[in-house]
Amino acid sequence: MAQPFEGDGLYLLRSKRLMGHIRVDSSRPRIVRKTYKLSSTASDWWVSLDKTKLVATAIIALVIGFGLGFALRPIILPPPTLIREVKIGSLYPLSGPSAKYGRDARRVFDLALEEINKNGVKSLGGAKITLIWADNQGKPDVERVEAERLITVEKVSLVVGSCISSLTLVGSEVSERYQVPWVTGVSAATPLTRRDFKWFFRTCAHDEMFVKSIFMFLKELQSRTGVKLGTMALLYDNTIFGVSFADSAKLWNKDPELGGYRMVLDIAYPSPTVDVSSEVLKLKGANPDILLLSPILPADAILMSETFRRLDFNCKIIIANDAGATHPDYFAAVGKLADYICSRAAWAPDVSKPRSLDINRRFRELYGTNMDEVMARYYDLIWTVYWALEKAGSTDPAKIRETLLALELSPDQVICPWRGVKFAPPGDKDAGQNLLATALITMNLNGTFYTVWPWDVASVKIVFPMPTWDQRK
Amino acid sequence: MEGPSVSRGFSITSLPPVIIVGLALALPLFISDPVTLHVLFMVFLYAILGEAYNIIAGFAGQFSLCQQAFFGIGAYTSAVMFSYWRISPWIGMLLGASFSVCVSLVIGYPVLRLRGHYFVLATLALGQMIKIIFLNWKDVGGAFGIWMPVVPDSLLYFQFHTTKAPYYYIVLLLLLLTVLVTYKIRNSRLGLALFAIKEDEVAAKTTGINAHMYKLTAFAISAIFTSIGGSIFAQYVLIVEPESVMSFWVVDLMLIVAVLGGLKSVIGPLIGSFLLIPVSEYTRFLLGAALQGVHTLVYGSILILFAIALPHGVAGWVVKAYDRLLVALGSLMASSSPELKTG
Amino acid sequence: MDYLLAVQALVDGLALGGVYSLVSIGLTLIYGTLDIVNFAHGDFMMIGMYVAYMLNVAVGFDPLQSLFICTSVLFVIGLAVERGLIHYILDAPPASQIFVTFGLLIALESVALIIWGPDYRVIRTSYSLADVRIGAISISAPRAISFVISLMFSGLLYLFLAKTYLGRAIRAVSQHREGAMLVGVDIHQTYMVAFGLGLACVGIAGALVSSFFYIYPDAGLAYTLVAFVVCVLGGMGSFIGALIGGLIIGVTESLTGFFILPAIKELGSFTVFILILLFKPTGLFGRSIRE
Repeated sequence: MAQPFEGDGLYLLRSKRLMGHIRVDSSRPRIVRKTYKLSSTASDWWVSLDKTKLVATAIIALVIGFGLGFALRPIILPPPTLIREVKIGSLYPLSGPSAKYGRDARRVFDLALEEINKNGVKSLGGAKITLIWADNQGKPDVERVEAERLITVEKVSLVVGSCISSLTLVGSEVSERYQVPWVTGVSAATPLTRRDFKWFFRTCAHDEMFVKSIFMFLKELQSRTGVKLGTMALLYDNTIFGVSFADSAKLWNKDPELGGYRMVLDIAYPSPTVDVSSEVLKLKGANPDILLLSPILPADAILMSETFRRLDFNCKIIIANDAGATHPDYFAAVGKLADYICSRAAWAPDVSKPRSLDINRRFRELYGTNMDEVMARYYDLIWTVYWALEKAGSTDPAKIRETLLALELSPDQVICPWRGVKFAPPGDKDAGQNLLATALITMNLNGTFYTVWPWDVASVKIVFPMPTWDQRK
Repeated sequence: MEGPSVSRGFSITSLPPVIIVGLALALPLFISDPVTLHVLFMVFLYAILGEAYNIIAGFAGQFSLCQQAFFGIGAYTSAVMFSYWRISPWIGMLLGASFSVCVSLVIGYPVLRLRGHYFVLATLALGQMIKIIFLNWKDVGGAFGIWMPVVPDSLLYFQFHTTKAPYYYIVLLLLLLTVLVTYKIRNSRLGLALFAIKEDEVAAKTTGINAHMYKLTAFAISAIFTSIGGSIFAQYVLIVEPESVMSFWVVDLMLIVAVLGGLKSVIGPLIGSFLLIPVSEYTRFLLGAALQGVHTLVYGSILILFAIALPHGVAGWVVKAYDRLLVALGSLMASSSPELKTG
Repeated sequence: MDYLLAVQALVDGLALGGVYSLVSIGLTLIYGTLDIVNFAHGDFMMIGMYVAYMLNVAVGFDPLQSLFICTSVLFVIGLAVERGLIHYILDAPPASQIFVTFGLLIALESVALIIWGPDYRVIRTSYSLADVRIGAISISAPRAISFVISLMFSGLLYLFLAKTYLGRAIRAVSQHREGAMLVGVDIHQTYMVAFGLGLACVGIAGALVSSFFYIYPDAGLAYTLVAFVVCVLGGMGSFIGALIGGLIIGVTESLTGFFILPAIKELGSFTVFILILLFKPTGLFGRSIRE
């Protein structure tokens, strides 16, 4: 071995941006140098990046990944089992602010299924209808995945849901894609049936239909009593429920025959709210003849009635968008303050059909209060589904859809005062909408509500104009 | 012995992450069920949001509670562009990111001067204010929001209906981008400055760091990625309403994901998201149909347990475990290397 | 604009603000002493409301009559929660603390949902519908009573903090923790009492509010957000600040709703909040940030 050169060793070098070392070893043919940077900029990084290596690594990663993927591709689907039941998906808000509606749906569905499942679906040999429940938590992304889960994992034949119109929108997009029928009984936003969907059905009336009834009622009221109404105000919750109602009202107000009122106020209030004094003060200032009100929560309705009285707000007629204004909690809280407020409704406890009275009585026995009109719509929804299954004689979604399109139910088969159920065919402006659904106008009196319109089914005479607070003392 | 050296290329130690990425890329090949893909999509989406949140909260120590505003701006911009003018959501995404940056600078400039809890609550109020504005802004739908038109599968218009795989890939690739950018920031001067500001803002300022400017930069970068996440979400759900894209729960979840993962680390939010999102989704799948409130109770309790047990996040442990793995690998290779066997 | 209607709006705003103040006083006490931001604050108020409701249903107690029980129950809950949960996260990074309180928020709401269901409950009392009239201005009786009682309670609390040993200990700890320890204050006991006291305040708020507001598992969250705004506005840790801040926020909300647009009334109060913060970053009566 050669003598070690005295210059052998490690030399450290440093400049402002670089540091490195040099190893000098005379026994080796070359000087070994290593340098590295102390600080760098983005362009340094990019320039110093060994692009060949990067591409090579990326290719290796992809190859390994895909290779493993193809090699390990085990797809084991459980074989379809024959069950003696029809699975219906039921997607409603079971937690969060709208949890109440999910709970109400469950109660009514259970009540209806008690009767239906006594004999089951006869055309399927007595198969029972089983509801597979899912919670959408009030959020659209949850609605979407739960709809997918119900359809692809639970393999339901049909889905009902989801109460809140924006969620029904999302869920039914999923069912449309997977070609499974979706039937809603409660979501009233008009655009839902304007999408030209082939697998979507709605049993209840939509907002335009409801509001048309209101305007027809107002017109007939004026000609019957001779009292003229000129100005109108809108106070509605700032959610889809209220905004859809207000939009329909403004639409019908433009109608040459039914509309034409002067709109003196149009305010949305944030729901839920702690206080409605500012809204009511504005109403007082505007002094309308007609107030169209949409209190989505009974709590909001309670606040409103109290504030109306406290601030002495009076007008000739108030028509509400149902929901909070006919809710048992509202009546329990405000008692006589609720009197004379009218509402559009799909149903009322005084609908004289024997089935309706019977079911309401059973509900009252179980839960201590009357049903509300939302619950009545749930009831008709599940029965409609049952009759469709009965007629279809199959759990195949496509067959069920065909049956729904051809389905014709008579007025006796529903507890709501509709002319029956018949869905608009595809291609119609309102494809999937039950064209025979109608609305009632009800009036609150003594802790409950009564039908006042159409005139021939009214059980109570409307008190119009509404007495002022002074007159009520 | 050789002196200190830093490998400039990609050595054996880079292999595990590469393999993981490769597997992630290949996943949709052998999982096609939409529910699992959805969970993974949400995991990746919230990983992006968590990384974005990490930049402002983990690196800079500023716990902003208004990030949902940027999420919403991104969602609304791409939704409005598409619904009203049929402009591709990709452009909408970029536009949304620009708007978010502008908004973040405008609100950040005054608000980032506030310190500690005051900043947190100012952003809380701002987030709510922006949501109220959108709730009442009729031109973008008000309470209705935007119900986007459904078009056939298209990459240009960012809608896929036959399978979830394209959504999965898009969010995965954007996640890789976000992670890369976060990594670069952490190892750059900006990152160093932010850490200094987080430790002690006054001391940092004495070394000449313009704290305000660095905080603003972090805030804006965070806003960009949050906004991108929002646009992706909008295209996934096809409906944009104030209650779902601008609600407090969005930033709440971002914060939890980032904190659970570990605030200073780059892969923290990823791990946090992987831990948390499946918990929330699967508790609902399994228990959602039961008595009302049970699945959220389980979820809330798990959150509390995580928070108490892992106050500094999980990433620290994962990194330590990973390092040990590398050392084991390294010594395995060293012991099999011929040259080192001699003397 | 009718001058009288505007004054009515102002008065309603004060009544509303009184409620906000009450909810915020508890929060500011907890923050000032323990230095944690409790996002589950409103949920404890919700528990207070349910306690008042159950007493109303079971024994027919008026919320005023159940005040003492609500306060005590929530005080005890506060002691338990502090010892069992908060105690462990006092030294955790602030991010973790926020994380825990979020989990607590979700858990408490779920528990309420499970136990009491999703129905909206209301308590009706003999004076629920009454109102107090001064000239043409009317104030709803339950709110007026709540306002008066919250002022009384604030006064009591102030006396407690000023005159009793525990009260002074709490003030000492909130001003300087190490200093307080040096003079022999038992930190852990003080924390427990402070937290319990904070929740007791919120229990009173819950009982009072339940006489004119609905009771629902989600009812707490909206109040939590407002309480935070009020506390920060008044200065975190400042008692007077919470009181005055609540009134300011209530009045601003009401006036914004009246003069501009009811749907954006919160926007008005939040804007005022931000503006005040920008000019006085530590709130109206706050101290500067502790080191």
